[in-house]
Amino acid sequence: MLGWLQGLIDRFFGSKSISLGLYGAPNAGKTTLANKISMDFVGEPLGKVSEVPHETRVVQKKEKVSMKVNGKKLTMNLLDMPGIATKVDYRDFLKYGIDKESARIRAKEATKGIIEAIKWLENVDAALVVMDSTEDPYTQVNITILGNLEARNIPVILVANKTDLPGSNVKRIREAFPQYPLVHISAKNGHNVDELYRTIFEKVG
Amino acid sequence: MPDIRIEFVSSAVLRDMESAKRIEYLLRVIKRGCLIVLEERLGPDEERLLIEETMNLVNDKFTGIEISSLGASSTSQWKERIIRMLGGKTSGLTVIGPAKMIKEIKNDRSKINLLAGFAGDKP
Repeated sequence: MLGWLQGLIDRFFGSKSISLGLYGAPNAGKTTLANKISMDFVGEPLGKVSEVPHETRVVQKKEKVSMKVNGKKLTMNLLDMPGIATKVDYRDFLKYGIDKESARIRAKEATKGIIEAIKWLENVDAALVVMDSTEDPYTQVNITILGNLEARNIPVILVANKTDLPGSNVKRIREAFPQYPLVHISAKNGHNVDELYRTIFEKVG
Repeated sequence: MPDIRIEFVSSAVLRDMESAKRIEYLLRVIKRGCLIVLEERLGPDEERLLIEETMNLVNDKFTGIEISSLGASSTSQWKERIIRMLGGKTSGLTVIGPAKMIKEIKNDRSKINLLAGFAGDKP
């Protein structure tokens, strides 16, 4: 009943409310992008960014983010997911100067974060699947994320991130997953994010 | 150099198992330190469940898995289940192993290239 009422209000006022999940492997730049979106439309960041993998270990939410593009409004709950991985080794964190006990705790939290992100796959209305364009995109993590979103008919936009880096290869992502809309950006310096916002409106707005 | 054991699993072995049992079977073999070559591709829900269950098992010794698949994945779990119930086979190939054992795994959609060895302790 409430959903129906909300739908009627949305139709009447020309706005829509969705849950938008940011998915991807660790260090793909999800939080950098979530911060950029949050800064552009709310004026404050969402989460902490770090070069150490698994910095985001719980789902970060920013509710009622109102995105306005060309007179249209889209209200969304922005969900920055922990990076999904098939392995977590606390020893990988030691090289960043983290002590052994903290690294163990970080690893444990990371495994819980991965489970939480996976469970959320059923509950988002749309997803941005963020990929580091300097890395090979055809990984099992990306395949599993996309397969699960597709199985639930959840709209997906691929985000080829880190185009500011020398090894960036957007073509490789397009060739790996030609069936999805793709926008190449640099979340770090904001390059082409306006195109991403337009695509979000076009595909899920 | 320690030996590496590879278990080649026919799809017939997993045919009658529910998804949870299939994942339990695969993880049991992987935790024994074996590589698995499975004669089919897991469905999206099974891949999801496999990652979830793997994360529940991660500790200092078992750091997770590496996995790579070939072949189209059906987005319908029911379709796959019906094919299996009728004695048919879903197409594809899956390679899974303990993360500690797999040093590198690459997939170009027509072949999987895998480099295995023991970096330190046996998993």
